[in-house]
Amino acid sequence: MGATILIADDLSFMRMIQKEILMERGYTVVGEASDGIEAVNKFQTLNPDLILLDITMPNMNGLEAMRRIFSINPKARVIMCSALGQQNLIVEAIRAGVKDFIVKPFKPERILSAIEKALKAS
Amino acid sequence: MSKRYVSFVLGTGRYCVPVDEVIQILRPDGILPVPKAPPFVAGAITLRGDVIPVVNLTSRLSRDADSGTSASRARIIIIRAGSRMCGLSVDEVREIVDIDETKIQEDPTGALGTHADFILGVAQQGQSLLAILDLPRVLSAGRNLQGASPV
Amino acid sequence: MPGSAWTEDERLRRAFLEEGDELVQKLGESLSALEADPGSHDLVHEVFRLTHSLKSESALMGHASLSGLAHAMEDVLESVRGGELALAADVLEKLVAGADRLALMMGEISRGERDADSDPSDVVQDLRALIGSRRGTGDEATDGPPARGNGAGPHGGAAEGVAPAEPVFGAQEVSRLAEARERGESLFRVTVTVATDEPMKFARAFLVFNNFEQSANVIRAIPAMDGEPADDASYARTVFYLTSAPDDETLRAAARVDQIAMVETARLEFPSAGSIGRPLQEHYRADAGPIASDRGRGPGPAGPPVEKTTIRVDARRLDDLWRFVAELVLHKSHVSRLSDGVARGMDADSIREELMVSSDSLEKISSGMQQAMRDTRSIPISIIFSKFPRLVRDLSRKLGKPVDLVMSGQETEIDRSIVEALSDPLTHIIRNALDHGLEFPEERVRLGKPERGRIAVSARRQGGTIVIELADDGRGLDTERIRQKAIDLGIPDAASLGEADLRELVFRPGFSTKEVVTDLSGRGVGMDVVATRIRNDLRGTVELASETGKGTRVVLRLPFTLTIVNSLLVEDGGHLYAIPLGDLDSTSKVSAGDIVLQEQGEAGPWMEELIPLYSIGGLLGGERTPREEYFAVVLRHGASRGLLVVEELIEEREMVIRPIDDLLNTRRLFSGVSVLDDGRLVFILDTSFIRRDNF
Repeated sequence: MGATILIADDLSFMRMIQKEILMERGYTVVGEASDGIEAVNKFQTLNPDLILLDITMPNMNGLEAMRRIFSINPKARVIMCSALGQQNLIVEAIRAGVKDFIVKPFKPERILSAIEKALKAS
Repeated sequence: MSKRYVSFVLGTGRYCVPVDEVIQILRPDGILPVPKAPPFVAGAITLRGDVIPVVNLTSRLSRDADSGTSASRARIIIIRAGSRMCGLSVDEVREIVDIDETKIQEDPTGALGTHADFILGVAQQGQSLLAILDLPRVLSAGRNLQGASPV
Repeated sequence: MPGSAWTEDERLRRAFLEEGDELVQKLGESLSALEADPGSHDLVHEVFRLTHSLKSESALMGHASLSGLAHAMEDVLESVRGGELALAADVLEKLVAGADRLALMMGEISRGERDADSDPSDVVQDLRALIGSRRGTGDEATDGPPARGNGAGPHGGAAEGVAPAEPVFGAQEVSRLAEARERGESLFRVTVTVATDEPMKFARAFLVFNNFEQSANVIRAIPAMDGEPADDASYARTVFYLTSAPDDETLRAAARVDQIAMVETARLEFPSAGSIGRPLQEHYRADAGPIASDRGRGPGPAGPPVEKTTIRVDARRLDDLWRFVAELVLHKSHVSRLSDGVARGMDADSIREELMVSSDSLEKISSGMQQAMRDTRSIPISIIFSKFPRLVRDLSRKLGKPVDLVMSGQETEIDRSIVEALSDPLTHIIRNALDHGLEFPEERVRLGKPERGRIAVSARRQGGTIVIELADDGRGLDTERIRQKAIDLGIPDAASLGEADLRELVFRPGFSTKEVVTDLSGRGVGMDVVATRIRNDLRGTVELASETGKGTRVVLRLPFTLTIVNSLLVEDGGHLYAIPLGDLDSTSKVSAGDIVLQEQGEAGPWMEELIPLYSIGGLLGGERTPREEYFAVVLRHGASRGLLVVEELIEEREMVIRPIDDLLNTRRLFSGVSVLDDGRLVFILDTSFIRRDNF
């Protein structure tokens, strides 16, 4: 069984694309979240190997969710997804410990190679 | 693999320190009193403007004072340990010896007894056993070590 | 240089000219040698090193076109070293043309002409053409458009061609570099190229930066990593200067994140004095007064010669001082408000509390100011070192002993006050090394040594100590012959003296006379004078290390500043103690009957109240010697007061404070120790104990 991944994005269309890309590569998508609060809760209960976290989400944005996730597990593997123009938010996320990010719109290879590297790093 | 050491006499025992650490060898003149120093500190001497503590090795190593050697042979060996300098008062300075590092062993006979804490190891040198001092420990002012307890 | 009226800029300019001349001359020599032996890697390296030094030094002095030319030569040599460019005749020819132009330009600069007079762009273009540069001119401007790895080979030859000019490090960076070097770290330049299709180049570079920060100390990133990036594309290629203990593999691993196309690491030399960016814009007139004033009776310690001239100070250091002054003003008005409060009948407890706060802050401010002031007094040792290349060159010619001078740590800062006192002894030691230490070339060859001698001079800061080493690879000291001489001179115990003792003899007056020394093939003409200067005037130490036939090393250790403190000397229990006047409120007398025993300990009367009372015997773990009446010193520490009773008050005097070893200070009661002229020890009291008990 491949690594377990949690997808957090408010757009269901986005989640669907990501899920397809991941499943094709043999990853297990253990859950989906459509806002920050849900992302944090599902992270806590599902304990995935990695979470793809969108920055712009209702209720609780991705940055805040990321901080809470790191306080649950400081070694959590988090990949931030962002739109172009959110560079300062990404920099903030890096400061907080995020190991990689992808910029939308992305090619499937990008998301796969980012996940692969993040999983390889301890 | 061999290193040079300065050997010296203390009571009935023989000890040594690496030549590289030795700065100078002095007669024990002009040791100045120091208020409430630990019992194993004989006082201080000044060397080129620096004020250097002098450790009474006999007392530091809890050896019995042994007057087998003449007082006129007594010396202070000034050594450098890290950024510190310190004097060691000894009964007599003997010679410079080469010791093969592979020949250094832990006290095989237990002959060193109570002061083994201050010894890195021993090496056979001719007839006698030469003990190599662990300088950082000899010079530590730590209270847990004997002789350094507050009055 | 007594009475020298040069400004520091002028000194730097002269130092640059001397060194630049030297470099240009050596460059010519090495290139000729290279023409004769084009296969020599050592020579290529030497030429590379020389152009590199010329590049950085001239850039520092603002000679942009000279620096640009040297840079172009350096790039060509880099390609030769990297094996991308063969050292064909036409390449050599262009390099020689470059060296000639450099010499011409140096000449113009030394005659005071602007270096722009000789535009070297023709030569630069020729050189650039050799490595197929994308840059048309050799202008040392900021990096042009970032190089992209557009298929110029698997290793992206594109980026390699433009080795960045090493930046000029600022004072703070220099001090961080110095610290890193002390910790044993290495300096690296890591060039990170971001994949061309990465939409957020800055964030990508920042990710690498963030990773570096885990295992290294990033000194500088170009472009800078702070704030909002003005131009995202400029981060396509980001250069990091960082220091790190682990090897470059660790750094590569840190940079191995997704979307990074290429990582290049290079280990660099720590910057020499040449790259200290000291914008000496600000200028202030100071009396530069001696730390040691001549107040008080008695001979007192003879202070070293002190420069009394206008000094230039780094603006940042003045900023530090200003910061403290601002705080001082703030607290002054606070205190005056409090005194108004007293007049208006404000309650005593809150006044007392606020006063304590202010007093503590004032303490911090004054020690901060002291430190900041000390900083304004420091200057890189290059001010002395810069004289050495010429000295060595002249002597080497005169004596017919070719020699290479290697200097490092020129950026090490020393106190201005010791510059003059230090200059002569160092010059003397170098002179001796050339005169007596180094053999003639024929002899060296016979001994299987390189024909050219080597003299290495280095300086570094080690805690509060400046360590200066001067080493040569000459014949070394013949200790057995020194012993023989000592026996002849009737020095007691000469026959049994150890190596170190024998070497120490060289510092004896009379022992090191010319005739003896030449005979001993050692050094020593006036070594006794050197020793006196360093040991007595500068309160430092001198040591000689030597291996017969291999060379001699002289190690000087100097206190960074001479800490001279005005103190009150007292006597108690047969020992002398000193109380720094800054910790002293007043002195008085206390009779035994006035001492009361309170819960926390003894107390005595002072200004209508009872304050804690101490005795030195008590502080050292014993008891107060019973007497009818005591002298008492009122100590202050912040708002706290305490009485210290002693047997005798002796006098006020200035004392040179030396560090005290832990073995002599097991109760941590002393902050240092001092030696009186008659050899007695004085223990300097650290009066912070009154605070520990008081509140």
